[in-house]
Amino acid sequence: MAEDLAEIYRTTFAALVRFLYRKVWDAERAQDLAQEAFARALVHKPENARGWLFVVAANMARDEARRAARERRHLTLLKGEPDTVGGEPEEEIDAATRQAQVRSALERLTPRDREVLLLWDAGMSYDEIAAQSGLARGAVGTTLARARRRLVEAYEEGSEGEHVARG
Amino acid sequence: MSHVDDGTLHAYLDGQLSPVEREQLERHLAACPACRARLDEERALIERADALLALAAPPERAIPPFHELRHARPWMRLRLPLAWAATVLLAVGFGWYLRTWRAERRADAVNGVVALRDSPQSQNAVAEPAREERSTIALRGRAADRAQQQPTVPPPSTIVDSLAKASTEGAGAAPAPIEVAPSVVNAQPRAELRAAPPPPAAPAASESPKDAGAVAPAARGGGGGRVPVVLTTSWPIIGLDAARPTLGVAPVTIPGLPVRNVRRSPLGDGVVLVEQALDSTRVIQLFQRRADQPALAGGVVRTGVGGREGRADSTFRRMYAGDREAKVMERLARYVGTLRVEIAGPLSTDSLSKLLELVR
Repeated sequence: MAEDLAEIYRTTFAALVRFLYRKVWDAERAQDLAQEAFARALVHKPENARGWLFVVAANMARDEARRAARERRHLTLLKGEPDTVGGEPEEEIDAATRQAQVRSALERLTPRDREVLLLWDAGMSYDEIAAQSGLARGAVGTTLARARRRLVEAYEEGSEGEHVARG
Repeated sequence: MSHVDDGTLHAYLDGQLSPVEREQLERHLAACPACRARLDEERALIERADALLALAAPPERAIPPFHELRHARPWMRLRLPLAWAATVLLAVGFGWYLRTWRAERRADAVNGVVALRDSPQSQNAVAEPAREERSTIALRGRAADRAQQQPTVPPPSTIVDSLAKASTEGAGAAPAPIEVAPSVVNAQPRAELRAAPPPPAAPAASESPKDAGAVAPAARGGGGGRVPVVLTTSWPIIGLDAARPTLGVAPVTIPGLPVRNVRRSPLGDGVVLVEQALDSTRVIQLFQRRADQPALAGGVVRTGVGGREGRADSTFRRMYAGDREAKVMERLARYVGTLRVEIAGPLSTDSLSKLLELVR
């Protein structure tokens, strides 16, 4: 079991951090939570450790995210605020700003769409996502299709909004 | 087959269709330009969504070793809050603490009394002998100075013999005359800890040769007089992160043992103490400092043995008070990376040595 978990750790840890990061938006915290999830797995020795880890991580992140939600929204607004007078070229929007836009776009998805999208991005299969989210396997693709479309739309709306604001 | 829904297209593009489903779909696509066009659209959508998610990825970080999980856990959870707490505490309290401590020390020097003398811990207080000329410790490395003095009390136990041997080892002198205050006898195993050769760089040793035991604290305190007992229990507790600036790197630990406390020496000598629980009663202490800094080990040695665990201390004493192998109490030291690490704890030299090997 411990060896299995060590292997899962090797293959999944980074994905779990990424998954958590999209929830807590703090790299260090995401890593801490991921380690915490694995540490719990060492104790609980779950049957399906991979899925279990993501469930536990999601639960841990939920509290974090709720707590941080207000500050984050505020921060996002501040970051999204154009701080220039002149027409700054689009290419110069820095990575932090774009990340903030992706973040707010993700937040505009429904919780289920977002969860499925993040699970997929963390490397889970449709089967694993179905088991995790309670969706029928056949519904995973549909959910993912919708989540992706909404993410892109929300991001582009956000960007357009900014362009308008920039005048 | 009717036109394909988005979900199936995404499942296809994600490689998540069963072989049968995939074959059906491909057959349909071959015959249906509209669905092929949609497939391209969906593929572009997926690429776009993936690109956006990639924008929101955390910075690359090294994956911590798996084996660190077991003991890192409580710390990981508390790391951030503790770092804050430690920062605030250090900023607000440390200066005040040091001032108070120094004031006490000056008072002690005047009175010739160690504050902790009457406390139940005084038996553990290895520095205590330093306040008395009779101190076994005061003889350490200074045997020659005192060779003329006659002991008023003969060594009461074999410990004293071995202690005497150890204490004169460095000087190469004849067995030192040893005078042991009865109240100190029990503390001898701990006192033995201090029988390491005096740090050559310790300024106090030259300032006040009579107080051979008074090394770092005397130098620090400016009083130059008697040495107070600074039990490690009174060392300010800091976070692992807060220890980093002091050491230049993260403090080392023995993997697998829960970290009880991380403390910083109040002497400002750059020593960080990591206490790890061996079990419910025994604590292993890891004294660490940057290897490239001048050794103030005298202060560390003395202060290092005021165990915080009453039970641990009594175990300690029980195990070693009558043990002629008083040398087992010697602290072992090792260089780990850029750090010099010394280990202390209620274990045999062999065990401590093995534990020390595990430190990283």
